[in-house]
Amino acid sequence: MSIVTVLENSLSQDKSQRETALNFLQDAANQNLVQFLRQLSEILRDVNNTTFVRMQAGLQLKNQLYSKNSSVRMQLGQRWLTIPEADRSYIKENCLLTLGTEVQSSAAQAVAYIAVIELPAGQWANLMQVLVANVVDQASTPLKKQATLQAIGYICQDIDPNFLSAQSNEILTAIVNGMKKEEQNSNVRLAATQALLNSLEFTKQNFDIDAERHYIMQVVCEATQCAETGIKVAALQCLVKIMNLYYQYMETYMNQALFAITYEAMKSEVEEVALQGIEFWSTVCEEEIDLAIDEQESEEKGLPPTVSSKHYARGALPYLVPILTATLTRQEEQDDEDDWGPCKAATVCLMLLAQCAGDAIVGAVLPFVNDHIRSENWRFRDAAVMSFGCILEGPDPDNLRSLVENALPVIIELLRDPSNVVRDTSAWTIGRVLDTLPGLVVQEKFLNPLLHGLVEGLGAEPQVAANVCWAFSSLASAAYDQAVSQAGTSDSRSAQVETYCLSGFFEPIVGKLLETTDRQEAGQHNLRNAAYHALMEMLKHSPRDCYATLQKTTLIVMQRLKSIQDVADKLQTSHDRAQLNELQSMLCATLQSVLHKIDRNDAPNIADAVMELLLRMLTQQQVQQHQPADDEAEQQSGVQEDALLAMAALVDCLGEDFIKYMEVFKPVLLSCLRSVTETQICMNAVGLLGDLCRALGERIAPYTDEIFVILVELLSSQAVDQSVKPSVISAFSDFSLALGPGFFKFLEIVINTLQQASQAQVDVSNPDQVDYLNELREACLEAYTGIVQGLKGNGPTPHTQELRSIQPAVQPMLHFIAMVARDPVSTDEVLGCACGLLGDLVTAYGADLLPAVSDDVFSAMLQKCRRSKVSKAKTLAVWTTKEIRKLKNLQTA
Amino acid sequence: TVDSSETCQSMAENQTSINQSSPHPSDPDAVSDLCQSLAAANTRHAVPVSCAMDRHQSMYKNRGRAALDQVERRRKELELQKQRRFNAMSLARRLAEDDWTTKDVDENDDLDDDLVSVADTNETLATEELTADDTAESLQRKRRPGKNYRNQLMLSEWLMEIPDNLETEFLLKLCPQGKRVLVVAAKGITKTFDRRGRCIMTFPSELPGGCRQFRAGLTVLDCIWDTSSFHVLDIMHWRDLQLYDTETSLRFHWLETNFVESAPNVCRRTPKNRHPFLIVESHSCQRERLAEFLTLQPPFPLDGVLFYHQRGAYTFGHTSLVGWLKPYMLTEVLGLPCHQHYSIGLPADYQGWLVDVERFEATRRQMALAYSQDRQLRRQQQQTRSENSHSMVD
Repeated sequence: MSIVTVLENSLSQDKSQRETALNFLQDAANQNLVQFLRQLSEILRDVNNTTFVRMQAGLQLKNQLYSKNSSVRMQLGQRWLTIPEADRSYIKENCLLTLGTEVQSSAAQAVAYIAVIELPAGQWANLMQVLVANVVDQASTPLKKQATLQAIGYICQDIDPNFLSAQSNEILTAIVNGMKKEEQNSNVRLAATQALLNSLEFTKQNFDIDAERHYIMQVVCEATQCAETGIKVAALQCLVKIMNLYYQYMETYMNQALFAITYEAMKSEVEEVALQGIEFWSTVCEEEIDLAIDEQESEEKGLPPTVSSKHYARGALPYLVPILTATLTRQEEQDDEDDWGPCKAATVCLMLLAQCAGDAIVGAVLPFVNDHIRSENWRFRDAAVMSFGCILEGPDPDNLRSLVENALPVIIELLRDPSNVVRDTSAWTIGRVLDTLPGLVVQEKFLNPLLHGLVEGLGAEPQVAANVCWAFSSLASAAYDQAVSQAGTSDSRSAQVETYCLSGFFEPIVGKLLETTDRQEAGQHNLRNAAYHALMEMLKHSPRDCYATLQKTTLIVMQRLKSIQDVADKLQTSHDRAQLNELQSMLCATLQSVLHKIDRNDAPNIADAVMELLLRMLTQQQVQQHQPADDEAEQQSGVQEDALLAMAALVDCLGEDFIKYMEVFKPVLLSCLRSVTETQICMNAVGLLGDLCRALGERIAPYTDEIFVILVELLSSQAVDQSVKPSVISAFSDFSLALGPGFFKFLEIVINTLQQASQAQVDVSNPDQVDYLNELREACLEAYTGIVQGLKGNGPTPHTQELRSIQPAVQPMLHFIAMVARDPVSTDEVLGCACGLLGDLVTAYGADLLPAVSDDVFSAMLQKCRRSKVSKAKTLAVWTTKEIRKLKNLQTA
Repeated sequence: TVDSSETCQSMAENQTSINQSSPHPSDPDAVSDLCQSLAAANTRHAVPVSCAMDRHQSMYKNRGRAALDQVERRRKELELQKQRRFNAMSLARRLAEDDWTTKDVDENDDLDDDLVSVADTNETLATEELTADDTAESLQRKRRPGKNYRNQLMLSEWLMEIPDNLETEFLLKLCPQGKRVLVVAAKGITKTFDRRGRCIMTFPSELPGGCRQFRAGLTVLDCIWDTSSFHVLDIMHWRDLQLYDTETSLRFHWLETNFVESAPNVCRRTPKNRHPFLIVESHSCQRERLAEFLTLQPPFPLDGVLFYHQRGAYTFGHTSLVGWLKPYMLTEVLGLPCHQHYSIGLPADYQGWLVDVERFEATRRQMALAYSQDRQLRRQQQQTRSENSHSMVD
């Protein structure tokens, strides 16, 4: 059977024929991949084949080059590069020659997939020249230009920009050539505009040059005026992205063109056009919010900001608000969660505008709210409530107070509005009010009607109920915080409040929320998640007089977890399992939040059962992970992650009593620690170690040898995610604090590790890496602190012998502190830890250390931190300064 | 595992002085594989801009919230773990205050003046009294009472069962009636603070640091104030001696021997020592010794009896290492006859120790409830008042 026939059959109506064909193709690829790919490229190129067969050939080619799964994709790429050069050239040539011979180009994709593999490997160097020539060549057919521009667009979309920036001139030449208004063929123009959209990230050097930037901007602006909607939308998308990437260059264009273009776009009858106009202004707002933060930070540091905000959004406010509020009245009758149109985009834009403009938004929006909140027309009522909800974040809350007091009763009423859209928006708005002015809403005059409205809302459509749940989440903490601030903090149990304004309603609310999690339609609009979150918040923020309900709920949650586990064992399909995992995760998180509230005396009563549930969850998940997973989503289920967090809560709750579970828990713990590819699980397991150390103290000693080996392995492993490593280093400090002198046997290795880790360097131009460096250093400082404190002991007199053993490490520690102190990238958090360690060293080694710590670099660091806004840094610096001063006084006395 | 054979040598080599070191050690040999493995942070790409619209979509109503909250919840939990580690370290640094999140009350920029452990204070703040009319909001705005002196006392828990090692590991103290206070003498003045950290009295004393003539040193005591004298229960700092992390038995021993010897006048009333400080003695819990002691008349009106675990350090807040009983419970709990003064306050319907404890707890809860309701009421009144005075915005 020829491959052409097989390809024809591959989408046959007949199922068996189809399967045979697909098996045949798979066999062909397995038996002789090179031959197979060559054949496919030939079929693709041959214009005598039917469109359908050529498309199938392109698709098969793609399947051998690309996968959605990133690790498979890497394997495919590597496999391609092992194919002999001559064969690859032949295949590539065929693909290139195909460009322009199809109506819907599969070759453009094939070219792009190969390019994405080869360009980063430094191969196919002349590709861009060929593609550019295709576009600029007068003789090229529009079809060829279009396919080529599509190929360029796909490449730009999928490749790391770094590999293309060297060729940005060629690429831009091709694109701009295709975008110009002189280009008669609108398909070419569209493909070019879309390619530009994908190439904007790596054309920075062109944007830096005035003349080139002017030219690009001119072409883009012209394209926005095109009659073809597709081109117009793509050009507007370009403007959105340009605004995001090159804000600092936009001043000239903003006045001359961009404001007018986007203002007109927002008013357009065509939804896609209006949407992009709104997105443009959302982006402007986001940029200016970020710039305002940057400016504030620069000001604090006494530096001039690199880019300053031009406050376009604030300036445009009077023009934007009327359009946005008008757009808010264009709701869909039946809201589909996946829809995204001007109305929803306008909501977000208005929210961002409020954050950007602050108090100025209130006066601009308020008339609309007042005029329409009691409108006969539900669209206007909804838009009024919505715009009210939007402006709550941004202005000074005090300036909103009286406004909210007046509006709140109306909005509470609207929870019962005949329109479900209005009910939904009202529930959302109440959540926002609770977040902005928590103290105001929990007043009795609002609370009663509000609670009735909300509880009723839990029974409404899933969407409304979900928003009601989020409002309950906010209400729970608002009510609790109020009680805390009213009670003052009269004793050390300040976190434990006796009663609060929801006490009388607590049981029914919790009951209703539990019911809601069980609703038939709870799967829609994230209702189940929202309800569990609300439940968690209620329980976490419950006062003492609601303890009985908390106890009862704990038992219900445990019962639910148990019955789910029984079902989970029997499940076959991965879809069901994924759903169940999510549910298990939520229940587990709920359990965790009650464990934090359970009385120490009650904890032992449920500990056995909780332990059994958690162990089962951890082991059940391990079994699942070893089975082949159907999709990535399932693998990423957070059940184990949550189980480990709940375990930490249990450890914290039981304290030393947890020791009786250590034998059964150990194998599970070790296996979690070894989950190098499951970053979060590994991380949570490492975090749990800290809690175990603090709870068990020296009694953890019998388990530490085995764990220690794993920790050291984790540090040197390449497979483990970098983010785990700082946590591992911090765990050393937990060990040391728990074991005291018992940590001695690990000391050499740990000190050695810390000295190496403290020298790690990163690319300081990359903010992510700087964050990582600071995390790593903080961990090293914590670990040193743990060692010094652990060996010194808690008694009034330091353990001199133990301390002498780490004497040789003291200088390197001081070194490290000095290095951190001098490094301009060090955050106050890290500096605070450095101050802390300095103080620990001083208290441990006493006056001997005074000459060394008198170094200016330390006094400067201490002084800086004493003035820090970060309270930990400040506290530690103050403490260390005092310790040093005490020693000095003692010396002079 | 890591090869540690060369550790000592490499540590010795690393001992260059600080001044010679550069912030970025550039010796390539010093950078091991591990170091590289730590430095090779994953390169994460900047968020592609094409996501802007997706990001906006997740901002619509609560649409993206479930996923976000999930991440947020787990992140918070890990933050809590970090906090617990920090607390453990702070404990070792004797910095164990509950509340790290609120801004420090005093600006510590005057640190270069005079430095003595906890005795630093900002007088105007420490003495700032809160009136009952304070609303929650104004509470937040106003600075809280001297945070440095809040939660600085070690508080007992009800003794709900008799520890097996009561006889060998515990010490008994009689607790006089009065107000529990923290006494801090420093910089030539003596101050007392209630549990909430409010300064209630300021006067001279002959405690080290306590009057102008004895400016040097610092004294921190845990006392009961009976409106004429201070009964010293515990001692946390004396001159330059830090006693917080000293075992209870040692602290008591120190209090009962050195305290009086080194400052004989503190138990008298003199111009330099306005109120006398009387030591509350500790007693062994050995059965025979107790049996004898309890038949004697108590030296002062009793509020209760404290059982201190000998090995505990001085910690802040409630601890199970200090047990509390009312005097009239002793006969029942210990099975020992007591002097008649111990039965003062015995409720007519006394049904036994545990029932009585529950009664106390219930009353406490009720009072707390009433207190908080009272606050709420006051707040509402305040609210109404401010409503009436504010013009309404339509």
